[in-house]
Amino acid sequence: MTRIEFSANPTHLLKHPHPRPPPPSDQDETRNSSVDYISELPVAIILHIFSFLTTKDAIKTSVLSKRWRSIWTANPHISFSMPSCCGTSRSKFRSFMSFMNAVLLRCTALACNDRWLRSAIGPTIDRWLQFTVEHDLEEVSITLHNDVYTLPQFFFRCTTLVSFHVYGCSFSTVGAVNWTSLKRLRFDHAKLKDNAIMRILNGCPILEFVELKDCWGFKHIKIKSRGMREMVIHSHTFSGEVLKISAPHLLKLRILGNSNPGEFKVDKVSSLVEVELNFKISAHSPGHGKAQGDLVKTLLQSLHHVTKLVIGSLYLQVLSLTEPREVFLPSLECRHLMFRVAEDHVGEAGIAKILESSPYLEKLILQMTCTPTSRVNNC
Amino acid sequence: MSSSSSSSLPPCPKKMITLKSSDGETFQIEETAALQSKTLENMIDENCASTPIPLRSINGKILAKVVEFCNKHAEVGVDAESLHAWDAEFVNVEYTTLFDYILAANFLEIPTLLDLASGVVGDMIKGKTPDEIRKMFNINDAFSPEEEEEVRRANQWAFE
Repeated sequence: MTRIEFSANPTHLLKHPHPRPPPPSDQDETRNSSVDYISELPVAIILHIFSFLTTKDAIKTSVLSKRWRSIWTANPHISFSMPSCCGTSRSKFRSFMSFMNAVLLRCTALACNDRWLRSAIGPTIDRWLQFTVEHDLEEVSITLHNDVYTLPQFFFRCTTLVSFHVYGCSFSTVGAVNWTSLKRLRFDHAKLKDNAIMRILNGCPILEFVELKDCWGFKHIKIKSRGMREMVIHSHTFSGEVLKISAPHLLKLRILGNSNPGEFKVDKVSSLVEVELNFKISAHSPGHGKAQGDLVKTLLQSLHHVTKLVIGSLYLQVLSLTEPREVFLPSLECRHLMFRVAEDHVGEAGIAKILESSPYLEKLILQMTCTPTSRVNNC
Repeated sequence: MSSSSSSSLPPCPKKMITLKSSDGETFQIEETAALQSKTLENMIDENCASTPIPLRSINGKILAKVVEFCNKHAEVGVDAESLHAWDAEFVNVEYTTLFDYILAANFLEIPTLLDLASGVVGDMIKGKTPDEIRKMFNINDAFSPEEEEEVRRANQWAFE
């Protein structure tokens, strides 16, 4: 289960052409099969071949010969899967962890940029993150299966970080954040209080993409970054009645998944050009259709200026549930409209309502998906 | 651009470039096919491709195969499955030839060929014991048993 992975983008690993002089062509037909050609290959090429191997197979080459002993340490593709027995045996777990640490110390390639770290449980993560900071890594991805790990403070000051993804982590204490290079941020299964998310977002001046999936604990997202291109809110858990989104430079907003009762409010989103709505608020009491309809209406009203709309099945279900007279949709300025509906959709009425309200429509796309939507039953 | 050898003008004249191998053989390749090589693309961009391009590290036998590969991969209307089968046949060669493909693809910067041939070499190594690998590729310069044991111990996890 637990998995640690480093992988560099080995694009252009082989900048230097083969340094060997060309083999005399007449000899070529009868290449001597007793010659060790593979060991003569440039290291960059051997490393490229390693990229097709598991880390284990790559490390095993260390015993092939003296020449091969340390080639693997420059391997830009390193990924470790903790052996399953580690879960049951403490000593095996410790041996794995110490091996990991030893590898990190010896891998010369870890000084390169562009890397992910997908990591495991335990206090050793701090040390690994320290490593990423010391080696100016640009991409870090952490997947945890316990929510008690708190990111160390020094990590929030990693100015080389460009992309960060974390799954299952606690943000109970967030100090000063200085992610000055960060462009992509993804939080998955995270509890973030308002002041934590505010500090983080304020500490990312050039942020372009943010995704908050299965996150909770905050009522307000405020993004000032001028380069802000896309925000995704997926399966949000409301902590309070409202989640307010303010992002004056945001171009694309996507709200997806099932949420508990609450309302998405957008504010200061004048730059938005594209919005995807494919979410559903689960109702907590019967006869909730009207309330839901109102929420839908208010949200669309605040998004009326958007020229490209993508509406998915979940949202159409909400819209279709409301009585025709209950919801008068605001007039939309939308020019490009796309409906993403599942085969089993129940959203015809919703489609009709949106079409009625889109007088400027130029392009309509109806996309059918084969997989049934996950429906919320209590509506 | 200039008058091509054929007198009847096709609607879209095909630009050809000439490659010259280390042993002096010349090969004609359509520019569109040659563009799969970043090295050649750069030369075309810089207008250095009007005269035969000397490739001193690639012999005629290998260059012929590389040109064949580029032509095949530039063909339109080939479905993925049959191209895959063609590729598999293309790399069904001695491993020494695979190395030549890799070196040529590296020099010419043809990622598809580089990955194809490197992948095959990777597959040859996968799951084999060090002894089997040594034997397969004639790797000499082996460690003494004591030294080997030491290397194994240092990387214990990989050998478990």
